[in-house]
Amino acid sequence: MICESLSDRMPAVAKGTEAWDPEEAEHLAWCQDCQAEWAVIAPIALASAAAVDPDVDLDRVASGVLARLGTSRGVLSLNRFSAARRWYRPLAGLAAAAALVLAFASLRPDPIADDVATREPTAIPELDVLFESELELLLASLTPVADEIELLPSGIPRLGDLTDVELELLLETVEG
Amino acid sequence: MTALAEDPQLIAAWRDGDQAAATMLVHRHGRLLGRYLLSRGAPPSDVEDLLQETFFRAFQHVESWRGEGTFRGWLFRIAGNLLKDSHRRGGGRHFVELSDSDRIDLADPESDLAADETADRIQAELARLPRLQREVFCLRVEQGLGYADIATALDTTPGAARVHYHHAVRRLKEAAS
Repeated sequence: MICESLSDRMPAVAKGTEAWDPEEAEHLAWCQDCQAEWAVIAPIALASAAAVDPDVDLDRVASGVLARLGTSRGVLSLNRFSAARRWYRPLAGLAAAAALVLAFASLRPDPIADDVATREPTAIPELDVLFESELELLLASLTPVADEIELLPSGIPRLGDLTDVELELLLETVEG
Repeated sequence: MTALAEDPQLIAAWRDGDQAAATMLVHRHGRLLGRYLLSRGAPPSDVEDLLQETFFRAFQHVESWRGEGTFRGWLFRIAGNLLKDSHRRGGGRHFVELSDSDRIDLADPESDLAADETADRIQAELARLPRLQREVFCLRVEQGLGYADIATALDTTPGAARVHYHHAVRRLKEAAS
């Protein structure tokens, strides 16, 4: 007859991590099949329990693992960053151009906000006698012409001349 | 994170940047894994390196574990595969030669001789068992793993692991009788 009523608990009891309860001990005392199984399991489990622990420093293992993981995580995140840069590059170029236009626009004098009275005398004395509304009319008539004038002196590259990378760098400078 | 936390909680904490959680996992499983590596023939001087490689791979590929099976069983699977690679490269298991001082004095030579013969028959039969039966038996009896851990370690189911174990025990009992 095959009896497996103690089979599942035998390894743990043989290793000494668990113990038979009285009922199990009584069963083992009369069941020949369980005794035969115990005769196989107990010596092997006992021998492994008595085996010498390996001479390892688990703190050193852990710190070694973490150091290696830190390095590999760094490489991983760099790769992900590079992939993201490739994908975002055209958008970043557009954003940089938009930011530059806004920056230039904010630097240009606002003809409406400026007070005529606080201005320094101009090179054209006739303008000094004009009222604010008259100056606005005059500026409005000049704006289309002003837009056609090159804002940057020659020798300085235009936005269209910049590469994506240069545009990104420029954007980073503008955004701080 | 406390030392009482379950493995999946510690892994989640480590993934959130808690390095102490990873250290706890190494301490929780390192000793048993080290004994397993030794029992499977790893040279003692290689055990620490093999342990580090096991945990490194486990953490590095923790996404592929996804909580299926036990973390301990998964560590045993990685360690077992590393050991197989190591044996393949080294051309087989490492055997330690016994010196005279390692031999046990026989108080009752006759009964001990009989016990030795039985032990030899069991060991011989153990070596003849199909691979899965042998590995299940060793993980269960020598390492004290439960069927869930064994199933993960050997990429099978707990039910199948239990069946393999009982087949192995039956054959070993026959060999011993």
